[in-house]
Amino acid sequence: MIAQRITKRILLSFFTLLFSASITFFLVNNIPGNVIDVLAAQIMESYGVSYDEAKQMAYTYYFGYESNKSLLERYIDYITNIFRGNLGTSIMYRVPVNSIVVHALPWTLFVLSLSLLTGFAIGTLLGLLMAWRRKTFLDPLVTAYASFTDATPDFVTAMLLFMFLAARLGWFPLKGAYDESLTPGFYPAFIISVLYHAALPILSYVIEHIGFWALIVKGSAASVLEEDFVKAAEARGLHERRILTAYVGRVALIPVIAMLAIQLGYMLGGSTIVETVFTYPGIGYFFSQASSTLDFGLMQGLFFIIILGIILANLAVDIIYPLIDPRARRESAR
Amino acid sequence: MQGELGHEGVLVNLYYSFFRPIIKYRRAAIGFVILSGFVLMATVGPEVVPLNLKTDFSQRYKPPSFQHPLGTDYGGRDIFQQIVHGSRDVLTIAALAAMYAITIAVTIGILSGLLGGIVDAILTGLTDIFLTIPSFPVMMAIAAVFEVRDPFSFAAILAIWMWAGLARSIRAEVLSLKQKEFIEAARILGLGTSHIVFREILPNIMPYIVINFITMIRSAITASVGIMFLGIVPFKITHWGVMLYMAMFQYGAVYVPEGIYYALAPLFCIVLLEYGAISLAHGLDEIFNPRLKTYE
Amino acid sequence: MKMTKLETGLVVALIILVLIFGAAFVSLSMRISELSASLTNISGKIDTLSSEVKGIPEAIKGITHPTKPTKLAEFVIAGGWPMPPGYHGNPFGPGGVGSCYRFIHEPLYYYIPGNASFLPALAVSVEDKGKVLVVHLRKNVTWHDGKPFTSKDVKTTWALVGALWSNKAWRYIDKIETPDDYTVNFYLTRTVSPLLKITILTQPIVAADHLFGKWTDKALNVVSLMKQIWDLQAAGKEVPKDLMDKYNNLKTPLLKEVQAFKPGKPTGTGAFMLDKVTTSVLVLKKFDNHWATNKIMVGTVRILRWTSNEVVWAYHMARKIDASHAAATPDVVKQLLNDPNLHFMLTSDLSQFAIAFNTRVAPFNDINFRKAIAYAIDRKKMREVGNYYAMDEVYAHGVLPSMQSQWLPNDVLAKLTKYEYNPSKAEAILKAAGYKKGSDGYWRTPDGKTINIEVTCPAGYSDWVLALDELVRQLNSFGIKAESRPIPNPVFWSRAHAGKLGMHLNWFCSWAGTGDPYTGYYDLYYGDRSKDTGVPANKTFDTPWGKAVPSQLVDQLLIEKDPAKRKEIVWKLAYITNEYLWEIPWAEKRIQIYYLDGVRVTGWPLPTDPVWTLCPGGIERAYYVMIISGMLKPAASS
Repeated sequence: MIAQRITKRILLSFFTLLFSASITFFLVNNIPGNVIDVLAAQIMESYGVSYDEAKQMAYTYYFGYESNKSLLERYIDYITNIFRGNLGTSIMYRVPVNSIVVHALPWTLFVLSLSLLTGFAIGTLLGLLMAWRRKTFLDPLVTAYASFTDATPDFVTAMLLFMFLAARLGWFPLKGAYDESLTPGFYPAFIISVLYHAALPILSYVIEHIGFWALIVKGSAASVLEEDFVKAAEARGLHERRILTAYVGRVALIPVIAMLAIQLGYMLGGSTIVETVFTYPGIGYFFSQASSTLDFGLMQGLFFIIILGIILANLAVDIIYPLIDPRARRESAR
Repeated sequence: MQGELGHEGVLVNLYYSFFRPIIKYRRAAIGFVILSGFVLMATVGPEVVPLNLKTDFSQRYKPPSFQHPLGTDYGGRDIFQQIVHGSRDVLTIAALAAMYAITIAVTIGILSGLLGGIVDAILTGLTDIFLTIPSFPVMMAIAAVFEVRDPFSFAAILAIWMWAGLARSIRAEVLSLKQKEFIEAARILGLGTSHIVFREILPNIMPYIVINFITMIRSAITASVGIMFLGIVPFKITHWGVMLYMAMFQYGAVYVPEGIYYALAPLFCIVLLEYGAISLAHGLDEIFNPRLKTYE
Repeated sequence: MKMTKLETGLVVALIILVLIFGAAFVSLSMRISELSASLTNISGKIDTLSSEVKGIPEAIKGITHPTKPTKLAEFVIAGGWPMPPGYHGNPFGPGGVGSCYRFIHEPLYYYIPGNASFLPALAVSVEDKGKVLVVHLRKNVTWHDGKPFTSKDVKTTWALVGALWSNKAWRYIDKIETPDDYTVNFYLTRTVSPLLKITILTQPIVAADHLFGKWTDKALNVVSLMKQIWDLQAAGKEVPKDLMDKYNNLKTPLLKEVQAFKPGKPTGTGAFMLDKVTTSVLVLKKFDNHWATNKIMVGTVRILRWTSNEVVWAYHMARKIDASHAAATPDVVKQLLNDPNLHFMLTSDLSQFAIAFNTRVAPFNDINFRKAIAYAIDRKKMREVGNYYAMDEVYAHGVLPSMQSQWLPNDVLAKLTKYEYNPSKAEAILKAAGYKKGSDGYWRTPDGKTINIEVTCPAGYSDWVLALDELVRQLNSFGIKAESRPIPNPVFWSRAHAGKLGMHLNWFCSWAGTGDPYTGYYDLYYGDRSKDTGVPANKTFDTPWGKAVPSQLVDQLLIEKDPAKRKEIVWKLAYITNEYLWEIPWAEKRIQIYYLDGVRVTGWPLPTDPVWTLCPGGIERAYYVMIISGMLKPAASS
């Protein structure tokens, strides 16, 4: 029964993936506009040539940009390549998208998994405490914090951290993923340098997300507190902390874990803004480059990675959810 | 009967059921006052406060004063006027977008969770597609063909990207609610689907919807900026999101101490709006959600 | 205790997290070991290279390093380059070699517009023999890989820049010959003009013959076809399809072959060679066998990635970079200059911002309407909010305000209309042309329709967006109903070139690359600006100096040698451009340059030094000339 359900979900996800990827392909390939002029303006500025010559150079750089194959042929190429695990070729960089992903994804995953975990842990703790001690100062304080961080766009948070902690105070590095004077390798100095460079990007995410998780967990826990089994536990005179962790937390976290998984899925796309401000070589950084130069090849490949991440995360939730939530399991068994 | 009750009766009723609890619970009161202030600003504000966008370079970056309650911007223009005149568009479009998104999400989420089967499969597939298709190429495509002038279409363009996540969560919530005793009971009692939806399911997912509504309003404000820079809608310098963006990126407000009011004013408004909304929502939740009352 | 469902779930979630985390770490470590492997590769290459260098007789070495300076400075700037793994090190590859271009590749001469002088680099002298330009190359110049620099390298470079970049100088170059290793003869189709001389001598020599020589012949074939096509086009004849096909069939495979060459590091003759390239930094090390090595006091050039102006400001505040040209508002500049060691100066960017009209559509096809707008708009206010440090303009003649005195004497200027802010004059012009103001305060066209225009600009230039907003505000207060709409840059330019925009913000008469009015007028009457505005370039116009056709004037301007006659051509073009207002310039763009003195380097030239005029179109070129001429040296404190 479960096996059948899982197979169904996987098949559905597969079709969603194919469908979304196809739509994205056609959208990306129909993005209007001419990137030659954008490039020519850049070349004119950095090569000291006239606009006309800059345009000729831009044509050379972007050579192959207009494929002589029809859209349908390119689509078939794209899909067959994806089945072979090939995400296509970047037009601007002339390298396989796979190699860019191999370069960039580890950094993105490293920073985002650390920040997501930290933010989630702190947020959950605050949320549970808020739900439990409703009448303390904690609730209005965290709510105020959450409204502040949620209402502050991520570019503001990242710029403020960059400006004050990195530029003015000089406590953290301004750019990059590690100190380029070090040779990459496994030795303490390099690992410390990697962590040191990741600190501010991680901090920007964590600051933005603590409030979010706290509010979500609080909402979820507040409704669990009303459940009969919690009341029963209270009536039995169980210790508060035990009720909170063993009873409330357990159940309250079920829907939140689903959200965590989905957030993990979105992670594959990286964050364009944070990575750009800190010049961090993750996926989001390459993505901003791809969209500013309309690098269709790179865009297609990166979009596919993002779509894949979201669909896998949703699939994982769909499969795991019934296992942990008895109510949903009964439903699916029907 | 109705005639006998009259307006007074309704008002008294409204007082006891809505205003008194709000006054009693401080948080709800704070939220209510804040939101009323914003509504007032958007409705009456532009009529009362004049808007003068004429630049006067010698007056730039003046600190708050009686003449300029929030100081002046880079062009020497009054920030307060811009905030007030921006509020109508900002709030209308954000609220409209959030409302569209909530409506779509609730409809699709409940239908798909309640009906199951083939409907569920189709709707979930649709949701997943909207969840995964990246907005950038779509927006670029829209930018090439559409030019939007009215707030309704503007809000619709924003809403397309906001509903899918919520629809998915609502579906999951409905699936789990379906198993609860009260819904089973309603079903056994033969109460109609509309009763189950409106009386049993909606009230239970309401807190969830409300908190999403609030975050959607916020994200609609910031997302509007992107849409303006794509040329889909006309550019408005009084839009709070644009003010914040320009302050941060064009004028380097974090670099210039005098310029901080230009960045803070729109940011403060967005934060206050969100805080007011969350406070009111939580306050109302505590008042009207009977299950929580035991903890007072 | 039996594990509950939730605990199972939590464990599963945890496992997923650990897996993702683990995957990140494993792939990261794989990247790291890969990176360190490639780095050892590079250092291996450097070792072989230096051993080759060792082969040079000690005697010569003794001469080139008489007193080797004990300490060399580090010089840090910001720039861009194709990010690894896309970095290829091939100047003809997509994105080129990046901001290290000027540090790695040198031209025959540097041309300094400020004092109209040539600074010798790879060449030592030039003979102008009528239709032949004879260039004598510097001896004892070596490429970074130790191979000697010869005339063949010049020929290969010209073959490739002609074939791949369609370098326009080839229109007037017949052939290039190399009678010996240190002489290059450029045979021209007509006598040498100053403009052509600048173009030929300042082309960086990017293609070493020992690396690119195998493509020289193919490239020259492409060039000869290209020249045929150009000649036909110039004569106004149609290019036969088989010629076009032949050209494309030759050029396409050549381009593919050349771009497939990915050495990883560019090889040049410049004073610096690429040491390391990551996503966030490019590191260049001094090349000890450079011809000017004993003058050079900078040992390392570090280029940080220029992600955005705000980030570069922060780099300045943290004293992480020595120089940049990140545009900023006066208030930001004031903050930056709190650093006593940071200096600030302005130099023309040789381009102008303008309000452009698509003169094909109403109401912009009406010269009176355009004139009214020129008087109705306070351009100074646009400049203040949009680009404070730009230079105000009251004419629209296409000669940059900073160059006006060189080209347009006062008696010529007196013949041109001065468009000073004067709304009442604008009203009078509109009324005289039959426009009427309605009761709502908005203007109507002579046939009674309310004017309602949408003004556009590229959304990517946020300073333009602000100027646009100011423009639209002024239009509305003047009584012309208008809305502002920024459009994404790629969409904007393709719509502009297709003639689909109405009133918009655009460039105007950019002199980039040459500092000569020809470049600007070519763009306006032949290039993309003619597509954007639809100027009738082949129409005959009256000027105070007789009738003239703009496109013919532009052609004459290119080939005319006599400076006095060139000026007369410019007067006519300036008159037509100013009186017909295809575009209204609102300011001349100026580069804001910041340089940090006394932290890592010192010895910056005075702002009045002509070397700064090398900045437009490649500011790195100015820094490089300052380094190789020995101006920049280590600061005492560093």
